[in-house]
This record gives sequence, C-alpha cells and structure tokens, in this order.
Amino acid sequence: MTTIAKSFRELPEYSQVLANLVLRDLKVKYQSRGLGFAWSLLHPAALLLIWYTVFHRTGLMRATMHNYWAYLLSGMLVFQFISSAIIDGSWSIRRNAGIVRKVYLPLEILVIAAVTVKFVEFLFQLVVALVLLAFLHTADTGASFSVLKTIIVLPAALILSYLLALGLALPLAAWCVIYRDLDHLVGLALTALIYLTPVFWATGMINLNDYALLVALNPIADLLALFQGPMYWGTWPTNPAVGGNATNTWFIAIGFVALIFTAGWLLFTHSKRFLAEVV
Amino acid sequence: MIAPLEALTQQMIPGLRCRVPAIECVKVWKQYYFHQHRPRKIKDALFEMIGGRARDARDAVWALQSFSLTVYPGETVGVVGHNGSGKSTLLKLLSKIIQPTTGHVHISGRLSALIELGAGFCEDLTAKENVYLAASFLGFNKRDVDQMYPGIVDFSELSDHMETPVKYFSSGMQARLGFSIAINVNPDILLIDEILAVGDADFQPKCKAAIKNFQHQGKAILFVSHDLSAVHDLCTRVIWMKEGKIAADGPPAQTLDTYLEHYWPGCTAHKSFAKLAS
Repeated sequence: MTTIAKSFRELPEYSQVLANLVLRDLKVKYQSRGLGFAWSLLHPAALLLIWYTVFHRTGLMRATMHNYWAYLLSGMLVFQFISSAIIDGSWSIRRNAGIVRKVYLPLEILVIAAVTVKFVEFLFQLVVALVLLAFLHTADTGASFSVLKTIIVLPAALILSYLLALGLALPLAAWCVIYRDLDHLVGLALTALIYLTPVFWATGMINLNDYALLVALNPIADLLALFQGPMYWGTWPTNPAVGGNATNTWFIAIGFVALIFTAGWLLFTHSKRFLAEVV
Repeated sequence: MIAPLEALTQQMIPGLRCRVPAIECVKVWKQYYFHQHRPRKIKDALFEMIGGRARDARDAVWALQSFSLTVYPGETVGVVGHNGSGKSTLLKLLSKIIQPTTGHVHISGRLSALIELGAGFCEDLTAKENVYLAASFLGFNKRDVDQMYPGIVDFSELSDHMETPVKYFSSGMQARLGFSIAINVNPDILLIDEILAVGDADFQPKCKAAIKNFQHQGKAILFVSHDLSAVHDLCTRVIWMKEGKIAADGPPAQTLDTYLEHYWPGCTAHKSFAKLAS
C-alpha cells in the first residue's frame, strides 16, 4: 500500500515530464510528415470508407440501418482510441528503454503519456465527427444526432474511456517488458475484439446467440453504448446487452472502468519495481 | 578505513560530523537474476507454471553485497574497480532507477546523474528540446529551464547545433550535452560515470574544472572512472569495488596503489600514486 501512496504523491511532481513527453510524441509523429495532423483524420476516414463499402455497399449486413456511416462513425473512433492506446501504451516502457535505464521517473508517466497522445488525437477526430454528424445525420423520425444529449453525456463518457484505456495499458506495459512476445498477442486480441464490439453491427439488430454474454462482458462494448446513444440514436445511452435501461448502462460502464482501472494500477505498482532492471 | 579519514577531515573542517550525509548506503544487497537479463517468453512462464519450477537460486548473482557507504557534502569519491564489480549498479541504486533487494539508500539533496554517458536523450528531438526534457526529469519546469538554458548551451559549446536532432550527434557531442545539463541544473550531488572517456582534448579540462568548481561549493560527487590518474587528480577519497564489496577505501593514492598492486603485483614499484603525490 505504501508504494501506491508514494506513486500518487509523486505523480504531480512529474506533470512537466508528462507534458514534455506528450508534446515530444506529437511533434515527432507529425512534424516529419507533409500533411501534419491531418494524418490522424485520414486513418479513420479510410477505415470508415472501407467498412462502409464492405458491410453496406456489398449487402453483407442484411439488416439495413439508416445512415449506416453515422453508426460506424459514432462507435469506431472510441474503439480505435482504446485499441491504439492499449497498443501504444503497452509498448511505451520498452520504447523508452533509453530513458528508463538512465534516469529515474515514475514509470506510470510513460504509459500515461502514450495513452494521452492517443487521447489528444481522439479528441481531434471526435470534433470533426461531431460536426459531420450534426450536419448530416439528421432526421425527423428515427435515429439522429442529439446535440444536447451529446454535450451532457460526452464528458463523462470521455473520462471513462480514458481511464479504461489506461487501466488496460498499465499492466500490459509492465508485462510487455517481462514477456517479450506479449505485444503480438495484444495486437491479435484487439483484432478479434472489434468483432465482439458493436462497431459494425448493433446489439439488438442481429442475433447474438451464445455470444451475448461475451458482448455484455466486453467493457469496450459497454462504453460504446454511451457514445452511440446520443451520437447515433439520439437517445440517452441505453445498452441492450445489459438490459437496456439507462441506470444499468451507466452502472455497468462505471463499474467496469473502476474495476479495471484499480486492478490495472495495482498490478502495475506490483511489478514496476523490477522493470528498470529488465527493460 | 573510514574512521581515520573522518578524523582527518574533521580536523580540517570542524563540525563536519554534525552534517547530514549527502549519500548514505546501509548494508545494501542487490540481487540480479540471470534470466532477467535475457528476454523471457510467455512460453517460459507457462512452463514454470505447469512445472511448478520457481526462480532458480543458482541463477542469482549478487551485484552488491552488504555494501555500506557514507558520503558527506564536500567529498569527491572516486570509484574504481573491474567491469562487473558493481559500480554501475551502485550509481543506479543511488539515482533510484533500481531498488535494493535489502538494505537502504538515503539521499539528501537534489541528485543529478550521468549514467552510461547519456541523460536519457530522445534521439528524434533536437538538442534544445532534449535539454528541456532532461531537466524536467530532475523536477524543473519550463520557466526554470529558460533561465538555465544559456548556461547549458555556453558550457557545451554546441550553440550551432541546438536545433539539430540528437540522433545526428556524435557520442562525444551527446556526452558534452549530457554533462552540461547535469552540471548546470545546480544539483547537490553529482554522479558521473566515465564522462572523461569520450570528451575531446578541449572538453576534458573543462569538465575537470567544472568538477573542481563543484567541489569548492561543498557539494558531493561520486566519480566512476577507469582513468586512474583523473581519479587521483580529482577525488578526495577513493573506493575500490570488487565483487560488490568495498575492497579498499581511503585517500586516493593509497587506494589506487592497493588496487594496482592487487592486479599487477610489483607495478607500484615503477609507478606509484603515493610517490607521485610526494
């Protein structure tokens, strides 16, 4: 317990380090490329185009959804953020081995920085998505973008996604230092996970059969409901996988995040002592 | 070995004993496992779990064994010893990068360390950005660094290259920059690892002068080097480390002669630091 107390006491002193690391990553990533920050938009735009073509234009999805692109958009950015934050975060300590071996810093900072960089990109993408949805995803009846509900729900939903990504990335970052082949598995697991998450399909629109429990236990799926509700359906968040009413939806999402974040932090604190020796 | 030295320094600087030690290691043991030094696979973990095989005690190596050292402000302690004698482990323990298996390490004051030449540079950033990053590791915010920056650039003599990414720097230039940062952040304790090995003819005397200046300010320095004559010139006390223990501790000439005599018997008959001093 003392190590955890120490870690919380120490972190504020390293806020300048965090700022520098985040700026470093953004700079290194975007200054060397002609299009700069636009690249962070091009990637999801290309994915959206591919998925829209594959799942909608070809008729692969039998159930048709009004403005299918808007549905994809309201879920994919969150999933992409969490997934890329986990991948970058779990690699963050290894990537900064040069720093870890030579100076002391609380190693959480490196993971927090990696997740924050992805979060900044996510926010940027989200702003563009919100503008698109507000202008193009409108309808008199049925699903449409709700400005008011989005403004109310989004801050909490964003905080929860950030904490979830961090809670998952922290222990993985430590284990990736100890087990050198873990990062392959992480990538693979995330590739599989997107099919268990209602990004392409909507819960309630297809028959989940035996997979219903898996979807309900997928914390990312529970978070996605918070975004898709106001951004696509125009309703308060409701997650059919956990019964559908608003209380359940929030309770499950917050519960999962609290559990994963606490467990992730504890697991990281438990193993961080040895990381500088092994990295 | 420590007692007579302390008595001597106390004669010169009365009241020294009352001062708080800058560095204090008390019975520090540090154990490494050999398998920690090679990458592990999940496969290994699974085998260990299934086979129930715990970490093998034979794989363990003690890098420091009941190591105790007290350094007071004003002392410059040289550390000599062969590769693998625990010198770098000591520096890493002092800078909190690693933690002792048992025993405790106490540091009082701001500590600035140069371990394996670098200061934790990020290759893709420019030298200027790296100065700000490295200083933030030591707890300085942007405004503090703005004030220190001219001094750092001046000392390193790299003013033409501050906008160049560090990856294009030679190892000597990186060492210059690292040393300039370490010395200009005004630490109370300075840990230096082999800094003089890469600097060129101009920079070496400058480093030595900076270290001397640091000594006059009454700060503590731990100086690891294989350059024995530099150790002799700069240090007020030298320890010889062997297999994770202190094999000798005392005035520079005395420890260095013991060290040399142990590995090259008879050599001090020709070249002795004690004779050199007198």
